Amino acid sequence: MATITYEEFKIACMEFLESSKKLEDTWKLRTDIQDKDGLCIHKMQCIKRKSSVGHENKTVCKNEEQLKEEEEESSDPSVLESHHPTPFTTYDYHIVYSLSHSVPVLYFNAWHASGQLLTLDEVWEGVEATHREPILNNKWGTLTQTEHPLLGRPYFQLHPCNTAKLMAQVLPQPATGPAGLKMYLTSWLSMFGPPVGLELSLCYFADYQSTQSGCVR
Amino acid sequence: MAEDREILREVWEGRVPVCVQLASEDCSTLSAPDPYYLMVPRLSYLPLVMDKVRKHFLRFISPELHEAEMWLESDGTPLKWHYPVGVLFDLQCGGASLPWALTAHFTHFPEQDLIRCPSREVVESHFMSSLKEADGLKHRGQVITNMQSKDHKQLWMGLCNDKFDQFWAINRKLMESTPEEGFKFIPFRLHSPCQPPLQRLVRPLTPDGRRSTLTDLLTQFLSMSSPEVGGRVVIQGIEAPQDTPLQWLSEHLSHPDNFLHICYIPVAS
Repeated sequence: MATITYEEFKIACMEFLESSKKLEDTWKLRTDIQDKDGLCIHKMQCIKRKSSVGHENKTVCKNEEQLKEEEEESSDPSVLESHHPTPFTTYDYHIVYSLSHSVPVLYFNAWHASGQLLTLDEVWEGVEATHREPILNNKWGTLTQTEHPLLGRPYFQLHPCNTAKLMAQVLPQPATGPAGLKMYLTSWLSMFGPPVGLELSLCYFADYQSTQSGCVR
Repeated sequence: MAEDREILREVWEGRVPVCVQLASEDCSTLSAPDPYYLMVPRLSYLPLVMDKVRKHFLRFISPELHEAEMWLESDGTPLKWHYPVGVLFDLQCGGASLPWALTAHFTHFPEQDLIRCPSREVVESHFMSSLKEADGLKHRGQVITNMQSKDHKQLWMGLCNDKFDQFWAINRKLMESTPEEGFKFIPFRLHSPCQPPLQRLVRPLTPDGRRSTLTDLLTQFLSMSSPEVGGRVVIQGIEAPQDTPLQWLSEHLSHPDNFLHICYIPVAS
């Protein structure tokens, strides 16, 4: 069972935020947490869905700037207006620690372009094709809506009850030291993010290897 | 020990009197329906006990709302159904005026505040997750993972059908510990009005080997969340003596989700 303590989780998050900054990713610390000892890092992301593809649910990740550029392009009067604008969904991903299971947990909320919150059924339907079967076979035990432990509001949660077992398979050695703990968090996120549309850049791992070998990037 | 078993039964049989009214804006008939009175088990969850209330009000709302999700509000606060009824009652009403007056709504679902609950499966999933969390704290999750799924089902059905013996035949195993050491950690949630419940790691024994008490827990964590002293601390509707060991409280006053729900009610709220 590969678990980490809350203190280790905090170190891992701080290291991860450092990397995110270096790699120009957009992970940030939540500063609106009432509980002074509560730590939560988050990332907003817009995901465009090719709506007519139906159940394929191929998604293209765009950052906010790319989306803005596209908006500007589409406001060009010489461009023929599309009758079916591609719908996009805004995701807000949160990484929080579970004291009960001693592992990180991924929470997220997702909104339609209209501002309407996605329903649980829509979230289930949106699970990436490659991960769909294992999740939907046990949907009530893997992905449900629950209360965000630090914000007290409804969020979707990927259940953490098997995380420690999974992490032990990925990392045979216990995570130690800032670099090892960051590796734990990135490995975990690379498993739990993709099913719900959160891809993690491989650069996070390259960054780890360069620190390990002492290289300066 | 014999009288302690009696306590489990007393806690199980705790009920709160509730009076539910239909929200006036959802009423589509000339005369408002009669309020619905019922005694609700403290240990249950609102969606498990509101079927009759929903049915009672359906005749008074417009047909297009018949499939809508009913949600409840107490004095302006939407009720988070995923906490046991007794916890909501202690936090919101405290027995100041009985019965507890609730309003049922079929429109304007507060999706910023409440988890959607279109079916009992949602409640079951939430209950099972809480049980796993609690056992993660008590036994590193080993007891619950070694149980068969029929045992999980029996815990859930025992709660749904209000069957004490059915529930405790299995729950007993989740409450096992060595007499010297107790659980690894005490699963508790400290509730205060208007903020998410506080969870921390607390061992049944202090570092110097003394049994941790309610006082230990409160002095450690209440000052952090709310600076003012005073107020009441209520568990299962009872103001327990503050020198009660946490291990004992966890074994006897926990809810079926295996968490000890401690409600802090400030003086001037």
